[in-house]
Amino acid sequence: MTTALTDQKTRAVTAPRPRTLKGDHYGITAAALLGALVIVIVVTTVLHPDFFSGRTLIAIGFTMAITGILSVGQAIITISGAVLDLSIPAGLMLPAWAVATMLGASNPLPTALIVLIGVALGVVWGGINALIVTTLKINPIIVTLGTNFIGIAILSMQFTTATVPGRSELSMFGNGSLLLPNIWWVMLVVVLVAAPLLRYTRSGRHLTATGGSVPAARSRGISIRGMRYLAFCTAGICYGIAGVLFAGSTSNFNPMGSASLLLSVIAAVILAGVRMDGGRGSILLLLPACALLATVQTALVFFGLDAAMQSVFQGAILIIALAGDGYLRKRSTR
Amino acid sequence: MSTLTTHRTPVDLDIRPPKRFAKIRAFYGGSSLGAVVTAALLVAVISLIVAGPDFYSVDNFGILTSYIAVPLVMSAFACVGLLAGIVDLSVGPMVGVSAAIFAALGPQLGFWPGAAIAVLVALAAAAINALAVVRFRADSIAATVGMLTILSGITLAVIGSNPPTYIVDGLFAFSLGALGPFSYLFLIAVAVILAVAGFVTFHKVGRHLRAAGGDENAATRAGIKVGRLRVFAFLFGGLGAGIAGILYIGQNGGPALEIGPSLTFQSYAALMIGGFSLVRGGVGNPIGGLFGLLIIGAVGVLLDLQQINNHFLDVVLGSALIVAVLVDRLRGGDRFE
Amino acid sequence: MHIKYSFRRVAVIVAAAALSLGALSACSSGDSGGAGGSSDDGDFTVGVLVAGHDAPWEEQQADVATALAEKRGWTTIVLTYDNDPSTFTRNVSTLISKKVDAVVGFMVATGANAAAQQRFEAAGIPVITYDIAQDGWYFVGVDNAASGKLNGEAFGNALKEKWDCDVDLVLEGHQSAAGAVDEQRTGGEAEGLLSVCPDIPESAFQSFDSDGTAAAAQPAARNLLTANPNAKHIAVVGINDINVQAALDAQNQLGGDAEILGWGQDGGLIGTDAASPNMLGSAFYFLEGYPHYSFQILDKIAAGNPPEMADTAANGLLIPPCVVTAAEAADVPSGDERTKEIGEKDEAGHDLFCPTK
Repeated sequence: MTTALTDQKTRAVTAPRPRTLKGDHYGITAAALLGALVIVIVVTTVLHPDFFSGRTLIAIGFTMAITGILSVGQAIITISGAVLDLSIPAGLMLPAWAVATMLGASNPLPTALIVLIGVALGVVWGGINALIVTTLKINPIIVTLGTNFIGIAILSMQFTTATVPGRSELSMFGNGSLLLPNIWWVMLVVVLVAAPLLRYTRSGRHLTATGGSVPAARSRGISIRGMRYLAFCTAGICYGIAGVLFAGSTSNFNPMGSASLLLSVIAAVILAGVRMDGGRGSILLLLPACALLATVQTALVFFGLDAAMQSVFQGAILIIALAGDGYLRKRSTR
Repeated sequence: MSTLTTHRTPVDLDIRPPKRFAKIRAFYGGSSLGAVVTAALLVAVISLIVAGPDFYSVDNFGILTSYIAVPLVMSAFACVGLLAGIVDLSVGPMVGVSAAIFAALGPQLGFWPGAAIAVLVALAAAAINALAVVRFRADSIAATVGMLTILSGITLAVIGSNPPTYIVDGLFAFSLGALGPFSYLFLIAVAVILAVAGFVTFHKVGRHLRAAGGDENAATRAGIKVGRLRVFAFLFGGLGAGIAGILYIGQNGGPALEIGPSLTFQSYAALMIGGFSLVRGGVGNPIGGLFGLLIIGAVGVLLDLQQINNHFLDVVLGSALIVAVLVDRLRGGDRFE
Repeated sequence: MHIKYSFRRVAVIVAAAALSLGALSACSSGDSGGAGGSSDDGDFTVGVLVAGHDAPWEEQQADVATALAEKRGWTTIVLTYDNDPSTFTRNVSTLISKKVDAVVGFMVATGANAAAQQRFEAAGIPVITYDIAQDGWYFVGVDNAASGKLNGEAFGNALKEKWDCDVDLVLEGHQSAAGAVDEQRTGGEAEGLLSVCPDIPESAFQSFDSDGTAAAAQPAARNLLTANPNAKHIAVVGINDINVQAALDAQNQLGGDAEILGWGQDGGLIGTDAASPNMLGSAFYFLEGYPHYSFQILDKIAAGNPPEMADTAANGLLIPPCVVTAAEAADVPSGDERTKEIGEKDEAGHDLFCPTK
C-alpha cells in the first residue's frame, strides 16, 4: 500500500506543474488522495473480494466519522494560523463525559437539550483556549498542550469509566445506519457546511487571511483577537458535536480514551494538504484524507496484519505523504 | 500589556552584565537561566511548606535524582534539535524501542551486541526523520508524529504481551548507587548536560547550530550548512535516545509498552520550563533543562511523599508549561498574536 | 526600563507561585493520607501500590486496604504509578526509604518487577503481589488461566444449548499491555470454550487487540468483523467486559443477520445498563476485596511469624472466581457498596456477594 501511495506521489510530481496561487496544489492533492484510495480499494478487493461490500463501507464510515468532524475543527485552527490544537482529546472528552452523565441520570433531560449542552461545552473549551492564547499571547501549541494535560487530569479526577445507557435515543442514533452510519452523515454535513463558510463568507475569508499574515490582516482592519476566538470556538463546535457522537457510539469510555484520536486527526489534516504555517488548506479535502486513513486501517485487517504492523504501516504512510508533499512544495516554490 | 513589546530586544536585558565573567555567564545561559532557577527555588520552598523539613532528606534527594537521570540524558541530547530549530516528537518512543530491543536481545546476544543493535535502531529512526524533514522538507512535528506511530508499533511487536526482564547486574547495582544525595546515574547525566552545554556555547558547530535554529535564512547567507547541521541534530537526539533506553533497562530491569509518550512529554516540558522553545530554535540552555527536570522530579517525589493523586502532577505540569512559556515571552521570546 | 521589567517578572513569578501553591495545598488537604515521616517507629506500616486510575476497582482496592489497616491500628502509604515502570521504581524507592514493614499491590509494570524484587529483598521487606506471579513475592489472586477456562466452559455450555456449538467465528479481545494476565484470561477462555465445543476449527479463532478502552477496541473489533463477513454465529471472549462489549457494539453497528454472543470477564459491565443483552455472562473477581486475603498474610508477618514463601498460582493464596450469568449479576451490589462492606466486615467478596457460591 505504501508503494501505491508513492507511485501516486511520483506521478503527481512528474505531472505538469500547476500555475495556481503561490504553490497551492489542491487539485494534485485531491487526485493523489483519491488515486491512493482507489488503489487501496482495488488491490484489497482483488486479493480479498469480501472487502468490496456494504459492511466494509459502514465500518469505514464509523471509523472516519468522529475523526472527520474533529479534523474540520483542527483544520480551521491550522488555517487561521494557530498551528495545532493539541487539546482535542480533552475538548472531545469534556462534552462526551457530560453527555454520558446526563443520559445516565435517573430522570434525564430531553435528548435535544443534552446534545445542545454537549456542543456548548465544546465551545466553552475552545473559548478557554482562545482566552489564554489571546490574553497571554503565547503559542497555541503550548497553550493547548498545557490545557490538554490539565483538562484530562481534572476529568480523570471526576470519573474512571463513563457508561452510556444502550437504550438511550442518542445511542440508538449513534449506532444506527442509513446506508452509511448516521454519524457519518453528520460528519458530511459538518464538512459541507464548514467548507463554504470558510471560503465564501466574510468572516471565513478574514480567518484565512489572518492565517496567511497577521500584519496584512491587521492592516485590513481585521480584529486578530476576534479571529482567534472565532477559530477556537468554531473548532469547539466541532469538538462538541464529535463528543456527543462519541458518547452516542461508544458504550463506555475512560478519560484517556480519546488520546489516540489526536494522531489520526493530525494525520488527516496533514494528508489533506493543510499548510502548517496557516492561511491555506481545503476543508473538502479532509473527506478523501479521512477516507483514505480509515480505509487503509480496515484493509490492513483484511491482510491479517496485527495491531503492531498496523501502526508501522500508518506511520510510514504519513511520513511518505509528508515527504512527498514537502518535496512537491519545494519544487513548486523554486 | 502593549508596553511589553518595547522590552523584547535582547539588548534591553543585557544592559547590566559586566564584561567580567562574560564567558561564564554565557555558559550558564546568561539571564535566560534566571527564571528557571527562580522557579526551582520556588518549588523547593513550596516543598518545604507542604512536606516539611523531611523533604530535604538524603533519601529523597537520592530518589529524585535517580528518577530524573534517564530523562535527563535523553533531554541533553534532544535539546540540540530544539536549538537547531527542529522538534522531534519521536525521541521518547525511540527510548522505548531501544529499551525494548535491548531487553529482548541482551539476554541472548550479550550486553554489547544487544546495546549496539538498540542504539542502531534508534539511530535508524532518527535518520529516517532527518531524511523526511531535511531532504524532503516535511514539517518536523508532523513527520515525527508518523515516526512515533511506527516506533510504537515496533515496540508492541518486540514486547508483545510479555515484557522481557533483563537485569544487567553491574549496571543495576550502579543505578542504585549514590554519592551522598546524588545518584551516580544523575551525576553522569549532569556531566552529559554540562558537556552539551559547553559544546553548544563554545564550539563552532554548536554556535552554528544555534544560528541555524534562530534564523535559517540569515545562517544560510552566512555560509552555514543548515541542512547538514539539522541532520546532525536528529542523529544526535537518536543516539541519546538509544543510550537512554539502555540506562532505562539498567535502572528498571524491563521495558513497557507505553514509556515513550510520557518520556517525551516530561523532557520537552522540562526543556520548555528551562527556557527552550518549541516554535523557534536557537534559544535555551541545556542547564535550564536540568533545572526544569529537577522541578518536575521534585513535584513527583512530593506527590509520593504526600500520597497525592498523580493527576495533580499533570495539572501542575500543564500550568507550569504555560507559565514558563509566558515568562519566556516576557523575557523577549516571540509574541503570538 | 529595567526596573519595570523586573517588577513584571516578579509579578509573574508570584502569580505562578500562588497558582502552584493553591493547587498543592488544595490537593494535600484533599486526599493526603498523612504519613509524613519515617515509619520505623514501632507501628506496622503497609505500602500499598496502585497500578493506575483506569478502572474504579484500582482505587477501591486501596480504600479497602486502608480500611482494613485502620481496623488493626496499622498505617498505610498508598502510591500510584500509572502503569509506568520508572514511576514504579520511584515508588519502590520511596517505600524502601520509608522503611515500610510490607508491601501489597497490583504490579502490572511486569518488566520492572524482577528488579523491584531484588531491592525489596535486600531491604528485608516482604511483598504480596496480586494476580501477577513473581519469584520471591507472596502470590494472592485468581488463577487467571483456570478462571479463564471456567468462563470458557460456562460460555461453551450456553453456546451448546443455543447453537449446538455451531460457531463459525470466535473473536478474542486481547489487551497485550496486560501481559501474562491477558494471555491466561483470554487464552484460557478460548481454551475452555474449545473444551466444550471441540469441533470449532482453529481458523475460526481470530484476535483483536486494544489498550483496554472501548475507543480502541471498537474499531479493531469492527474491522475484524468486516473481514469475516460470512460468519453467521459469532462468539466473543475477552480479557474483560469492556473488550467483549466493544465487539458486541461493533456488530450492532455493522448490522446484518449474523448472531453474536459474548462472555466477559472481571464483571466490569455485566448486570449494568451499559452491558449488551448479548453478553451472556462474566466472572466477578471482586478485585476491590483482594486486601481481605493479603491481610491474612500480613497478620502473620506482623505477628513475627511470616508464612512460607508461596509465590506461584499453584501454591499461592487462591481467590475463587465467581462465574455468573447476566441475570445473576444483576443482584450483585455496585463496586462502591462492595468496597464499603468489605472494608467494614473484613470478609471475602466471594462469600459476601457471589450469587453462585
